[in-house]
Amino acid sequence: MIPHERSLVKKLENQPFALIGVNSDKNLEDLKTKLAKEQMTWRHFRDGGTDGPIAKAWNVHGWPTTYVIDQDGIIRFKDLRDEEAEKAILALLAKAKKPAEAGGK
Amino acid sequence: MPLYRVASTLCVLAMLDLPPALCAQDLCAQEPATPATPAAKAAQDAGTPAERFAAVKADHEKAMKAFETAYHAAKNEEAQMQILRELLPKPEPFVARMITIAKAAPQDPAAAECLAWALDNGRDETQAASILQALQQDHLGSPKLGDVCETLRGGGVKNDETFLRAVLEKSPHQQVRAQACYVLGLHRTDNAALARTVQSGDDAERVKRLTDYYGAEWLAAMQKADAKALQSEGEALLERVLAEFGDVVMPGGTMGDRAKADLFEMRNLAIGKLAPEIQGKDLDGVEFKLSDYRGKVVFLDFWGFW
Repeated sequence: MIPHERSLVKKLENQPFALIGVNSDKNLEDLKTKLAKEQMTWRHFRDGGTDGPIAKAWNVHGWPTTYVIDQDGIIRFKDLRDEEAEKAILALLAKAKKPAEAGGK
Repeated sequence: MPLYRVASTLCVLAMLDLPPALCAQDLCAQEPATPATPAAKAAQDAGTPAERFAAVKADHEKAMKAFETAYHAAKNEEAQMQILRELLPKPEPFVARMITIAKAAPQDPAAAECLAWALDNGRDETQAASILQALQQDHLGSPKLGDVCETLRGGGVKNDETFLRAVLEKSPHQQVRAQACYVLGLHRTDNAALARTVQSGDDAERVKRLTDYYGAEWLAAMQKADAKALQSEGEALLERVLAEFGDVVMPGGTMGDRAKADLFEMRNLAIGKLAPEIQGKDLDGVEFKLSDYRGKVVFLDFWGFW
């Protein structure tokens, strides 16, 4: 999961894309050390534990749980990983680009 | 039964952070089904059904403990795999002992415990169906049936809805009835989701995997299922949990909390819905919102290093 996410963030750094984590680790210092070591540069909400408020609100009981959300904030895919997630993200990015290139149609 | 149901036996594997595919494979070691000596056999058969149930459970825990200790002590991945193959106890001999106890004293309250354990740990679908039948026939009053409903959460046991219905209507325990209602509701909504997947044709790979598992009969049923009706039946059962059993206290919250969270997910976190706002702080304590990223494709990942 992490190596693929790292390459995805790099690959899409100039595109309208963001990887956002909701992190449920308890120890913040420990977490920051590991993030630096893994070169995970993207942003995370800190949820503080598996019973954190965000995980609770989103009814998350298994980790990782993932969502692909489009440019309009609409949930498009759930629980995709790695290549599958990348395929879905690229398709959404391509779809958004087309009308713009065609003169905003 | 689905892999999901195997999980309870192998939850230790999940804790060991193994790839889930391993759980599906038959890697477990064979535990001797019968004791080596007649004296040991006699000792195993002695005692009340409750004592014998406790003895089997203790034997299983001991075997699991031995496996875990060896697994953690393993030096490398290869050694771990070997321990997994050789020491992970197969549930079948323990399940067989549980069933023997229950058959010898079908009316004893301990028989319900034996059957519940066998259902939770067993991997044989036909056996699972007959366990449910025995529980429904002799133990509808047992408080253990709440655990049985939880075991059925993952679905895939034949006639489990008949059983859940009977429990919902006839159990004298409010909590058990709440759990039956909840699981019945989730079964309906899970099936609605599966019917939508099958009928949309969007995910042929997943449908093939499921069909390999559940069979052609399942596929045919899903193709003609009324997803909308299943969804609203399921939601109505979850609403009933809220209205009738909302105050029932469970570990980690009330039944009402559970049903509310599931209904929220179905209504607000489904594909095609506007993602609910997240307002929080990043790891440096800076406030930000999910909607700050409107205009971008967002991959939202709930995760942890642990």
